Amino acid sequence: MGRRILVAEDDPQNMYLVRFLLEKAGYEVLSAGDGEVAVEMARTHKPDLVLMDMLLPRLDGYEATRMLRDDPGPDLPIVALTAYSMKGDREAILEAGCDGYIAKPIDPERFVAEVESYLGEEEA
Amino acid sequence: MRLFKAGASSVALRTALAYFVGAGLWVMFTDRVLESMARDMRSLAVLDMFSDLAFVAVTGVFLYLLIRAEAGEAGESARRLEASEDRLRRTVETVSQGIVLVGRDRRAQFANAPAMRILGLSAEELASRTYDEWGLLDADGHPLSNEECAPEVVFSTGAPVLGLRRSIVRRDGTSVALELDAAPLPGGAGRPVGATVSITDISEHVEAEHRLRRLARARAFAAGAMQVFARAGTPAALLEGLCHAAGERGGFELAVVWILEEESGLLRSTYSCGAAADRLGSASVPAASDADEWPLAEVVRTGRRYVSNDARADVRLSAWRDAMQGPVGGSWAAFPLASETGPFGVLTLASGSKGFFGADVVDLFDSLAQDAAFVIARMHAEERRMRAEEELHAHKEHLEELVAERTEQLGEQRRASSELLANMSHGLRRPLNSVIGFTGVLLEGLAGDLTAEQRFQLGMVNRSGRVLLSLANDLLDIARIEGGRTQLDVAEADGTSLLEAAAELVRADAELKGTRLRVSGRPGVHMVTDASKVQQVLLHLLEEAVEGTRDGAVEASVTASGEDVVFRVIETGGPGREDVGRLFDEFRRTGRAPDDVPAASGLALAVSERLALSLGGSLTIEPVNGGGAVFTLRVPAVYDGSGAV
Repeated sequence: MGRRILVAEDDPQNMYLVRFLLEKAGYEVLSAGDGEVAVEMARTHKPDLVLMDMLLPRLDGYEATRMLRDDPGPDLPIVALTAYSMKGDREAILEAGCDGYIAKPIDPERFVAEVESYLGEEEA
Repeated sequence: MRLFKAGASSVALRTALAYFVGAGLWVMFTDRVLESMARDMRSLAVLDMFSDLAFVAVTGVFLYLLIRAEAGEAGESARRLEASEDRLRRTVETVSQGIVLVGRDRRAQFANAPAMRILGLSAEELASRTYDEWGLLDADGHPLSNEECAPEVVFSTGAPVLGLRRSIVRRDGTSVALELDAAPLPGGAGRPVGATVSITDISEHVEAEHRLRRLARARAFAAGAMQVFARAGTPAALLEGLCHAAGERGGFELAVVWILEEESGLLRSTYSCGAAADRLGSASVPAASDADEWPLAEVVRTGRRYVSNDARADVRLSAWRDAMQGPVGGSWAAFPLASETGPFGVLTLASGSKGFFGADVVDLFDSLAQDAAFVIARMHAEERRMRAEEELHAHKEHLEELVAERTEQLGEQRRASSELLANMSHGLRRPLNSVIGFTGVLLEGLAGDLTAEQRFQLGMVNRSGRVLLSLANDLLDIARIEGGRTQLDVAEADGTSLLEAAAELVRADAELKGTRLRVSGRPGVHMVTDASKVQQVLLHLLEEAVEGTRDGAVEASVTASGEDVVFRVIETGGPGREDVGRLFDEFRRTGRAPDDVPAASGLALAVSERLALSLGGSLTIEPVNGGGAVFTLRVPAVYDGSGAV
């Protein structure tokens, strides 16, 4: 509904898939290829949600999330995209400041619904 | 009254008086009697003559009797005197001491047989010469002077001399120790006319004293040596202590411990003690030297002791005397110090007096030397034992180090390979993401409509992708388990629910294959465990069974059994499932499936077994008669943290 989502993902194929699904659902998609660019773009373009792959070059997802929690702050929904589903990883993700995670490989049938669940509160 | 005292003059006086009185009375009386008897002058004269003759006769008889008595007495006295002298002479001859009566002319007026024997001189020699001419020498070999002789002392002081000791050398060269007692023979006017000298041969006594002293020194040495044996910690300390005991306690002029040096073949004076130690300094003798010159070498070679009781005169000690550079002691002995491999040294003892090394002490010293060698041998053995222990200990530590190193190496290898696996699995996932994702998108129709055929084919691709993903997950699990990084997410779960959920995931495939899948289990199988891992195993087993069954029936069940929960997956009519055991074993053993079995199933089962173990449970497969297999997963209902990794 005219909302902007920033996707930080370094794998081009995966990026394509995510963009395809989100744009199909009507969202504007911004893409960042590494952690530093992700932080910059989030601060500059103020998306409504950030999808953060946790393994990124230069600045990894955890650091980037922490930096974003400093600025712009806790209101920005940040959802981790992660292949790991181990208990320890989940905790690390939540501790870094993410609101939640979506497991990879993403299930195309449910992906958009899961993302929207994190946007839902924003709706007035 | 003096007149009646005994004694020669008083007897004479008495006799004379008696004669005077008797003769006087006779004369007076006979004159009167004759006067009265005579008738004329001529008969008176004849009677006078007869009375005078009678008087003479009586007097003669009287004199005869008197003289005979006196002579008899004198003879009696002389006999008694002679007998007494005889007894005295015999007594003097039979005492053991020598008795000499010396006159002021310094000649012997009398000497008994023992005196002659002790002095080695005959009676004539003693009588005819003064004592400085007797030819006796003192202990140093100088002639005796008159002043040294006992009688002189008596003559000059007039008092007796007792207990004078002299050591002299007789004319035949033998020496003897004497004790002299001398007393003056009183003469008139208080000056002695001579002296009696009693001479006792105390040589044996002196010898006994020496022997006692020797024994005392030897015992002191032995006692000191015993203390050294008990206290010494090293062979060096023992030998040095032994040397000191000899020098200080034993009082030897010089005690030396010589040690044989292997490389140089020299006997070196390693330890020395005693008054003459400085003169010896540091000496060494070749162990192979000519035995005549230096008995040390011979002692070391033969292991027999060498004893010389007159070191000054011993030819074989000439080199020793040279080495000492000066006067040496009277006795010298060398005792071997031997270990089990042979003599390693010599103990030499030098004493100031000759004849020190009598039989009574030599054996003692020999045994001391042997004891010393024995203790040293024991010390060496002890040292060797300690060194062996140290080596063993060091070796053990080294081994432990090696083991620790190796374990670390292995650990690193393990970690490296599991890192590799983890990387690999991660690398596999990325393309799989695309495969699953895009086929999913296409199947959703999000990229446009599909024909039935396209849908069908894409479906196969999608399912293959999921299988591949499952394998990649398995690989990652193995990597984690092997690398010791499995983390179990233990929570409450229901066994039946887990089984049913796993069955649901497989149902689509089963229907596709036409396989009947039946699940049975009572609800309420309470568990506290890592549900996802259990489900993973169940999934593998069900997939395996569905894949393998021939006549199309798979039964899965779950029951609580004691403290465990037992899941059973029975597949009937599977192809040669008797292979399965082999498959299992092969994989477990070599990490590879046998060549005739699809690799994937082996991997899945191997992972399943490892997962079962990590939950503290077990996985077994048994073939069924007539084909098929029973997979049994046994898991503790409550995970107690004891899972094997």
